[in-house]
Amino acid sequence: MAEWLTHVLLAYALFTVVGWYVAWLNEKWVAVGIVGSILPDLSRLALIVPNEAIEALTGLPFSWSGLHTLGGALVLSTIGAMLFATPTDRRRAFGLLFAGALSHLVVDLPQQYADGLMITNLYLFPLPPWRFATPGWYVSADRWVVVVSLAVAVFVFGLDRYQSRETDQ
Amino acid sequence: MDPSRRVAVVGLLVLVGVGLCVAYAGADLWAYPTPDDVATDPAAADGQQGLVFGEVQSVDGETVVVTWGSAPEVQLTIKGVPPDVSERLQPTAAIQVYGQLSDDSTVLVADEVVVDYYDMGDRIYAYGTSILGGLVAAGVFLWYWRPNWRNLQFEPRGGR
Repeated sequence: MAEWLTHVLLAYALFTVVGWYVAWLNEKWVAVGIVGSILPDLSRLALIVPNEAIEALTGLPFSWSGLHTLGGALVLSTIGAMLFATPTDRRRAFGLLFAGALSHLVVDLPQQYADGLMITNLYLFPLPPWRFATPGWYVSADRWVVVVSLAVAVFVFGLDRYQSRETDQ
Repeated sequence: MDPSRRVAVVGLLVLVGVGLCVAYAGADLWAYPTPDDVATDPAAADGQQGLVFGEVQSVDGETVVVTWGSAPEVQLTIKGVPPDVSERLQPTAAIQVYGQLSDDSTVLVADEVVVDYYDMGDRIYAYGTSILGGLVAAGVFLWYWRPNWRNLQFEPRGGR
């Protein structure tokens, strides 16, 4: 998995660019999309409350990794959207949280795996466990990933400021 | 929608989320033997190809001992790790190995090895940048939105 800074920077770049074409998608909504980009990693709650503790308590199989999936993204985005007041805000929040969460899964996909296949079998849950070839672009600890993400974010930030100035004049 | 109704909907959605995590844990998502399979019937997986996500316990030349899974945790001896990889591995390294299981699933002969973390420094880097990313996300969000605890909702800050 890529680390959160990469997810946040790429989500900033993605939603800022989309905002050039969607009138209502201003900075405050970009911020919502950014939060969406780290939602699937709520699966890291396993570090605080281990799966085994919940299994021992309930007697049921349990894995926080269920949140790091398409189904998890849908549920978490809907929960997040319910924390906004108006129907319009809830629709927008849901769309951005879900798009942000999907961006997270997409960024995580093209990593190196020893058998040469992406782990879409996990991420697509509850869809069937299909797997596809991975381009194997990076592993979690590759430092260049955050450098490239930062460069993309800074480039988009610069273009966005330039566009804003042009519009103001 | 009034706050109490939204809280009720959130409660229902949390239950759906829990159900999802239960269904996920019980689902058969891998074409390879899992730690559960190996712990239940070690001999049955012999001769099968496996994909192991392991934490390195020790390194001896091209042989690496890893633990795989958490409950159950399975200990495996990985053979055939390329020397240029094994010489950089430290205990706590995280590796993926694709290869063939043998010897009552205590040995995996590696066809391919990918290293996610070579050492604790790699882990600290990944967790450190993640914490930074989380702080940035929370900071940006709270710059534009403020929580209204009374109504259990987020509202745009004035003028933003």
